[in-house]
Amino acid sequence: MSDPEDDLVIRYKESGLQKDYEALVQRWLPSIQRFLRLQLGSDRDACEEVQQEVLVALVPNLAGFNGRSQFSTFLFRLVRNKAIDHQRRQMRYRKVHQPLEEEQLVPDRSEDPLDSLVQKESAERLFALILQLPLPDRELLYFREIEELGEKEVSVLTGRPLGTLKSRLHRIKKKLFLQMEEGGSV
Amino acid sequence: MKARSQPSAKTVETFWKEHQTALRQHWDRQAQGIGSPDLAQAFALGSAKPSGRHFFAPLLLIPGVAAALALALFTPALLRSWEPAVSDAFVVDQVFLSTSGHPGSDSEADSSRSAYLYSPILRTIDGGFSRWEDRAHLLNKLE
Repeated sequence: MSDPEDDLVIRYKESGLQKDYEALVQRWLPSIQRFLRLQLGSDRDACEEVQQEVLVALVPNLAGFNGRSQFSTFLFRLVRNKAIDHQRRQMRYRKVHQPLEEEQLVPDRSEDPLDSLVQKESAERLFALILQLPLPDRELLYFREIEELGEKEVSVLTGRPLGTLKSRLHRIKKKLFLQMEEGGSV
Repeated sequence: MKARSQPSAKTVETFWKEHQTALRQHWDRQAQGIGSPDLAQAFALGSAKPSGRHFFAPLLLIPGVAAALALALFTPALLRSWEPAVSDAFVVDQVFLSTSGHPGSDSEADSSRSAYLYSPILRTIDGGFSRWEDRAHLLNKLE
């Protein structure tokens, strides 16, 4: 655990106190929520349900975390597993997936005057296109470009050989670029 | 049909850099739509759960070790308790083999004799001691 951010993990593992757990969760909550949004789409209820499941499971699972992998690797795996469990449960009941075309985006209420309307629209289109990518591609793009994880860690998380990560990532970006150039078939 | 020109790697990267910040901000806003978790409840529920495999793994070994110990301790005793029956059965079997064709030999019994006689468990399950006694009686008569 050489990463200074892992100090929060060490502190919690040593104390086992709720306040240290909360500090650790608060540090990683945005990443958990971004990743859940990627995994589960716009189903806010599902995201909130799985988020709570992840945070409950985190407590006993942390006892087994020994620092041999990055904490982020451990955490994203836990989130992904809980999201998959949820989707399986949903599949059993509904037998159908909500099509991504029905994606309901959260209205953008940003008040930042520096955000131009064009940039916002482009970002919305790009985000919607990303959600249409196959899940492994979505994850790869997310881990590298949004979370900015190291190549080795992304290789572990995605199960892709280290040597193919760059080329795959470039192909995904190129595909998104071309779709955006075409006007984004959202 | 004219093939679409492929963008260079530099063009793609430039495009991505231009959009990356806005995309991140948009992604964050989307994620913030997810409500805040109840951390106190999560911690309480999580603490009530056992710590997964690290807690249970040694416990799972206990039945296995107990079964192995029981097998090691009791198997010789069980074998010793069955030993006379097995050895007697072997003698009877040899007599049957040597008297094959003798009046009273039973070809059906002969065919299943080995499996039957050498298995105390089968004999017990089958209630086969009566058959065993019949054969012992026959053996006495032959002698």
